[in-house]
Amino acid sequence: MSFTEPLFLLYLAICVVVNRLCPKGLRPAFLLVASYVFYCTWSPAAAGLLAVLTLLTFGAGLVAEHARVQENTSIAWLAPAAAILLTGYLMAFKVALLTPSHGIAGLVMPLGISYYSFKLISYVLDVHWVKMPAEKGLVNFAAYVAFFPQIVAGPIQRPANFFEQLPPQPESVVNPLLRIAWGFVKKLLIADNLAPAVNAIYGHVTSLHGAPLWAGFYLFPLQLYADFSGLTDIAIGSGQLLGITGPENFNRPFTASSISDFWRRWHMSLTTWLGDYVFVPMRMASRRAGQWGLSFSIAVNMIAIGLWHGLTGSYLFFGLINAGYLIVDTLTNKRRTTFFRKNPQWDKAGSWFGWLLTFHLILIAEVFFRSQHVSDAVWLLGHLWSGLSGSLAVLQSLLVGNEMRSLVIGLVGYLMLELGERYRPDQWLRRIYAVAPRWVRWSYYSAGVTFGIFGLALLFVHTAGKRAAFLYEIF
Amino acid sequence: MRFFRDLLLAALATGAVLGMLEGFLRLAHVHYQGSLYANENERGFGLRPNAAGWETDEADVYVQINSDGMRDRERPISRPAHTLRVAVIGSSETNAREVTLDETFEAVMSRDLSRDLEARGWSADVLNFGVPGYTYSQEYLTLQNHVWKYQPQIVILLFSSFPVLKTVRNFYPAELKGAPVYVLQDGKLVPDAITRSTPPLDAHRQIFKNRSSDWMNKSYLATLLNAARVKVKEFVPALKARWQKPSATAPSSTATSSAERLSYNPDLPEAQEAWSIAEAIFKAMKEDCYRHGAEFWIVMADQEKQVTPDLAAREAFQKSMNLPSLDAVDQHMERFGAAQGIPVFALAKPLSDYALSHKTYLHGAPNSAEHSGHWNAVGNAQVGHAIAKELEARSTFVRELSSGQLAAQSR
Amino acid sequence: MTDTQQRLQGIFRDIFDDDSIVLRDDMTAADVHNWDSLNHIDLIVAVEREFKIKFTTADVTSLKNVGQLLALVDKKRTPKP
Repeated sequence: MSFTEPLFLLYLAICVVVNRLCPKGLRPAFLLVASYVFYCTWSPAAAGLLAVLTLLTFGAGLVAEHARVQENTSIAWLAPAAAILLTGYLMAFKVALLTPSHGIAGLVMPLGISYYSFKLISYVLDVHWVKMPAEKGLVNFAAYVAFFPQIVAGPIQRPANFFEQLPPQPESVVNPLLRIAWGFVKKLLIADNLAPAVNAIYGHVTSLHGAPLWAGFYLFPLQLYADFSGLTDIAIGSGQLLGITGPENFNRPFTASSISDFWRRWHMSLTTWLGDYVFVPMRMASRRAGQWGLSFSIAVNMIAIGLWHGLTGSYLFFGLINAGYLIVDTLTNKRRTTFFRKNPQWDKAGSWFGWLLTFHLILIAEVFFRSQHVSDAVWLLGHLWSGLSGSLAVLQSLLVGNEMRSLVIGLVGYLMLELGERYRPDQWLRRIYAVAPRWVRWSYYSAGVTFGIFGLALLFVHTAGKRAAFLYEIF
Repeated sequence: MRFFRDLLLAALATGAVLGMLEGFLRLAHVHYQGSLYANENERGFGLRPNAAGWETDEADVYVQINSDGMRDRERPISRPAHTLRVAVIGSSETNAREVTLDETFEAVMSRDLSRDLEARGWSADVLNFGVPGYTYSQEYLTLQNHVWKYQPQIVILLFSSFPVLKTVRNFYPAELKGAPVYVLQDGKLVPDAITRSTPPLDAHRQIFKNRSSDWMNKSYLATLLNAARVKVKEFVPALKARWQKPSATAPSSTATSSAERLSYNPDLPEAQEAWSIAEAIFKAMKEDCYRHGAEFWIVMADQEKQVTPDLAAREAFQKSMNLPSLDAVDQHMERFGAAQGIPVFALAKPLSDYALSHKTYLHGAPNSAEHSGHWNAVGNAQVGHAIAKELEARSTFVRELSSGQLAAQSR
Repeated sequence: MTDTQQRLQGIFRDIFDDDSIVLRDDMTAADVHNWDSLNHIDLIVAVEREFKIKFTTADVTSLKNVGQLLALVDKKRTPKP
C-alpha cells in the first residue's frame, strides 16, 4: 500500500490503537509484525530477503563486538566486510535496473532497499567503531530495520537514536496528525498538481525552446521539494504516532545562502549518513593530502549522493556538478568570509546575491537529476534563451485539459508552503490556543474536524484507485 | 448561558470555515459529479426534470435537464408548424454529456437539416431522449410513453452493442435492479416476473430524495462529500478485487469481458438470447413508429477501434480479438434491417474516413483514458453531419420535403 | 584550565575563526558556528599536529562532544606502558 492511499491511513490508525493497547514491553514486537505485514503487501519475497539480511547483519554485529571484547583481531575485518557486502547488494539491484530484462526474471527493486541497506550498514559500522554497543535484542533490531513509516522513503534513522526510544511511548496525537495532514497537502495538493506540467515539459524536452524550458527549470525543484518533504512529514508523523521520532530531512532548503548550506538543509538524513560513513573516513584517510584530499573526499561523497539515486548518467552528472560546486565553495570559504568582514558595506548585497546564486546553481543541477538522459539536460539548459518569442504560447498548448488549472493550484499551493514555513502560522495559532477563551478552543476543534473530513473526502475521491507514486519511493 | 453562547460562536466559526472551503473549490473550478437522475416506477430511473449539475466522468461539462426530463433546452411539446422533428432515442452516446449542448450531435444535426430545409421554409428540431445507462427495454418504454407527444416525423434509435447484453437480467443483476426487463414468451415481448412484481416507489421518499439532490448540486462542497461517499462504498469491494487479482483465472463468462468482445462480435453463443430479445424490441419499436406514422431508423454507433486513426492499433486489436473484421456487428445489423424493412446506417465508415484524413481522434476526453470513451466534440460534430447527410439522401420524408413535394403541408 | 584544554581552545579559536570560543565539556558542533563535517577533520588534523598524536577513524567517529575529545587527547598523549 502506498502512503497516500486511504487504506494506509486505515492501517496506520489500527496500528496506533493496537500499539497503545499493547503493554510497553511487547510494543517493539508489535511494530516488527506490523512492519512486515506492511512490507508483505508489496512483496512477500522481498520481505523474506529483508529478513535474511536483517538476521545476517544482527549476527555480524554480535560477532564483531564479541571479537573486539575478547581482543581477537583475526576477525576485525568482519564488520567492514559486512558493510561492503551490503553496499554490493544495493549496487547489484541498481545495476540490475539498468538491464532491459531487469536481471533475474523481471526482478523489481525491493521496497526501501536504499533505505534499509543504509540502516544496516550504519549499524554494522557503528558497532565496529564502538559508537554504540551491539543490539542484543533481535526483535528490537529487526523492528528498527523494517520500521514501516520509514521503509518507503526514509528518513534514515541511526540505530542508537531508534533504540534509545524503545519501548515506544507515544504521547500527543494532535501534532503528529497535523504533520501527517500537512504532508498530504504538500503531496496531493501541491506536488501532484505541479507534476502534469513538469512531466509534459520533460517528456518533450528536445522539441521545446524558451518559455516551456524555463517553466520546467523552475517547476521541477518545487515539485520535488513538496513531494519529498510531504512524504517525510507523513513518515515522521506516522512514526511519532507509534512513539518513534525520526530525524528531520529538510530545513527550508531553498533559503540556503551557499552550496554547503544547501546540503545541510536538503535530505539531511541522507547527507549526514554519507558524511559520517563516506566523507569522514575518506577525509581521515586523505587528511595528509591537504586541499587535494579534501576535494577528493567531497567528490566521492557527492558522486555517492548522485549514484545512490540510480546508476545512470544523469544521476552521476548530478553528483559531479554538486561536487564541483561544493569544492569551489569550500576552498573559497575562508577568502569570502574575510572579504565580507573587511567590506561590511557589501554584506547585505553579498548575502542576497549568495542566496540567488545558490538557488540557481542547485536548479541547474536538478535539471540533470530529473532528465532521463544527460543530453536532455544539456538541451534544456542550452535552449533556455533560444526561440523565446512565441514560446509562451507553446507552453500553454502543452498543458491540455485540466493541466493549466492544476499548475495554477500547484503554484499557489507552493507559495502558501513557503510562506507557511517562513511565518509559521501553526506556531502562533498554538500560542493563541493556549490563552484563548472556550469558544475559540471549540472553534479550533470543530474547524479541525471540518478540515479533516474535507481532506479525507478529497483523499478518497482523488486517490482511491490511482497509485499516485511518490518520487522518492523508487529508491 | 455561556455554554450556548460559546456553542453558537463555535458554530458560526465552523460555518465560516465551510464557506471558505466552498469558496476555495469554486475559485479553483474543481467540480464533482452532480446528481442528475431520479427513480421512476415506469422505467426504473430517468433524468430528473430541472436538475442541473456537473458531469465529470469523462469531461467537465455543466449539464441541465429540462422540465420534461430531457438533456435539452425547453421545447414546446406540440410540434410547431413547418418543423421537422427527429427524435433520437438511445443511451449515453445519445445523451452526449461529454460535450456542451451546442456541441452535441443532435444540435449539429439540427443546424445541418435546418439549413437544408430553409429554402422550403421549414426548420429542424432534433430531440435528445438519451439517458446514460439505458437498456433497450427502457428505450422502448421511452418511445412508447414519452416521444409521441412531440409528434416527431422521424425516430432514430442510436444503436450500440454494449446495451444488448443488458436485455438479460442475469448478466447484470445488480445494475438492473429496479429496471424493467423484457423476456420473449411465444415470440412476444413480455415484462419478466421481477418487473411485474416490483412494488411501486414511495412517492414522498422520492420527492425528498429529489429535493435533497437538487440542493446538493448547488454546493461544490456537498458534491465533493457525495463523491467521497460513493468512493467509500466502493472501498471494501475494491480492496477485495485487489486481493483477488492474483487469482484472475476466474471464468471468462463475466459480463464485462463479454461486453467488449460483443461490441465487435455478434455471434458469441452466450449472447444469442440477448440478441433475440433486443431484435424483438427493435421490431416492436418499428411497429410503434408505423402506428404513429413516423419513419423508424437504426443508426449504428461506431466502436473506438473502428475509427482510430492509428491503423496499426486497429490491426493489432483485430488480431487480439481473433476476428476477420471489426465491422461484424454493423454487418449483422444491416442484414437485420434489410430483413425487417428498417433503414439502417452505420457510422463507422464516414467517421473512420474523417479520422484518417484529418489524423484525429473522435473519442476521448480529458478525464478518460487516452482516446477512449464517448465521442468528443469533433466526434459529435462528425456524427451530426453524417446522420443529417444520410437523412437528406435516404429519408423519404426529408427528400419529399426538400424537393417540394410536401409543399406547405405538415404531416 | 589544564595545558591540554588551553591549547585545544587555541586550536578551536583558530580553526573556527572565533576568538570568543570557550570550551566546555558538553560542547558539540551545534554550539559552534561554522563547525560542520567539512571542517571537522581540519580540526582533527590541527589537534594531531599540535599534540603530535594520531587518531583513527574509529576514534573520530565515536566522539560525541568536546569533553570526549579532551579525554581522547589525554589518553593518546600518555605513553603506553
